[in-house]
Amino acid sequence: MRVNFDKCIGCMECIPYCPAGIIIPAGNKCMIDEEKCLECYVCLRADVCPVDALEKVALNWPRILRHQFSSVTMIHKGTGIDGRGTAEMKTNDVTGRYRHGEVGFTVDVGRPGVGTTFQDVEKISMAVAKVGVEFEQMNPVTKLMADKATGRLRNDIKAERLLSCVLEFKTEDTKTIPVINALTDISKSINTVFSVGCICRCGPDGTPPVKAILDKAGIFYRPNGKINIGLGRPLAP
Amino acid sequence: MTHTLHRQGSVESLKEDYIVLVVGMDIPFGACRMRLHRKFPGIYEIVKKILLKMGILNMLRTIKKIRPRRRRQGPVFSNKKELVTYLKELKQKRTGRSVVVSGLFEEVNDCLKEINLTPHTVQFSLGIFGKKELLPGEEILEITTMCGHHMISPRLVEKLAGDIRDGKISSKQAVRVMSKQCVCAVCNESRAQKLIKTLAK
Repeated sequence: MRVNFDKCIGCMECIPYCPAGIIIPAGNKCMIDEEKCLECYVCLRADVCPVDALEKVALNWPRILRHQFSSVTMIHKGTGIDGRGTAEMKTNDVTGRYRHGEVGFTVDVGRPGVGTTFQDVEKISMAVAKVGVEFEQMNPVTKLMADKATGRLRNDIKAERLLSCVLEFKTEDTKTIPVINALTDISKSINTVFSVGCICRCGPDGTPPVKAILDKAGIFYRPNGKINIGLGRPLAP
Repeated sequence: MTHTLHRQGSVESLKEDYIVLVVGMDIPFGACRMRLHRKFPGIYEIVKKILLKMGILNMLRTIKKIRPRRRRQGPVFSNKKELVTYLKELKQKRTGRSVVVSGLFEEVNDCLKEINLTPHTVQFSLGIFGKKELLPGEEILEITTMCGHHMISPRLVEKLAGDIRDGKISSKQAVRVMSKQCVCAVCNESRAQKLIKTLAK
C-alpha cells in the first residue's frame, strides 16, 4: 500500500487501523513505509480515508507473498482455503491426519500482531526439523521450502515480511518435549514472537494422551483451546 | 489455520466465549471434493437453519453479511446453554462435516457430556514464545486475540478506548468498529464490549 500525497488531507484517520503500525504521520500527511508494509489491506478495507488516498502497489513475486500471508481474504492456491495455514485438526475426524501416537504442532510465527520475515520463519523450521518432524505438505509455508528435510526455505523469499504464517508439522508423541525444547531455544534468537499449538488425537474416553506428557514436563498450556467433537464423516469407509 | 486457538483472558472472561466452527473438507479441489459437496448440504445453509430455529437473528445477520461463501461457518456464543442447544442441533443434522469448538476445555467438555459426545482431537495453546517485549499490554491482547488473524490493531483498540473515555462514542459503537475489521467474524462482541469498557476506565 502507499499514500497518494496529492490526495492525502492529513486527517490521520487511517493511522490506528494498521495492525503493524506502519502508517505514520509525515508532516501534515500520512505515510506508509513500503518496505515495511505487510500488504494486509486492513487500512483499505476499513474504508476510513475520506479522499481515497490509500492505493495498492503492484504485487510481483516475491512481494505477493506479503499479501497472501497477511490478508485473510486471499485464498491460497495450494490449500484452497483462506487464512494462513490448513484446516489441521479441524477436519481430523474426516482426514485422519493426526493418528494415535502422533502429536501435531502449529507454530504461528509473528502472531499475535508483531509480524515477521521468512528469515525468522526459516530459523524455526530448521530448528524443529533437526528433532525429526514431518512438515504438512498442504501448508503454504511447506510449499515454499527448498528442502523439506531440513526446513530450509527458498532464498528469494527470505527478506519478505508478513503479518504471520503457520508452520505445521507432526511427529511421534515421544518427541513432544524435544520439539518444545527446540522451540524454546530458537525463540531466544529470533526477532519476533510465535504462538504454539499442540494437537493430539484423543483416546476412547476423550482424553488427549499428550496432556499427561505436558503435565509431567511442567509445560504451560492455556485452559482454553480447540476441540474437534468428532461429528465429521471419515473419507475412508 | 489456528485463528480461534490463542484467545487470551481470565477464566471468568473466557467463560463467556465459545466459537463453533463447522468446517468443509480439507482436501484439494477436484472431483472428490465436488462429489462431497453434492452429497452434503452447504455449511451456510446448515448454520442458517439452526440459528433461525434458535432465534439468534443478530448472529445470522453477521454470518449472512460476511461469510455465505466460506468453507468455515460458525457463530460465537456467550453462554453454555446456547452452545449446548446449537451442538445438539448440529449432531441431529448428521451433516458429515467436522465441528470444532473453541473455549475453556472444562466447560466445553461439560457441554459435550450433556449431549453424549466425546472429544475426537484436541489442540492446546502453549502460549507465546520469543520477544514478548514487542507485544502490547495484556488488556489489549485480550481484545485483539479475539481476531486470530490480528486484523484488529492494538492502536485502534487504544484509540477507541480513549474515545469512550472522552465520551465521543459508546462502548457498543467502539465494538462495532473493531469487529468490522475481523473478517472471519469470530470476535465475541459482548465480551469485547466488557473488556473495552474496563480498558476505557
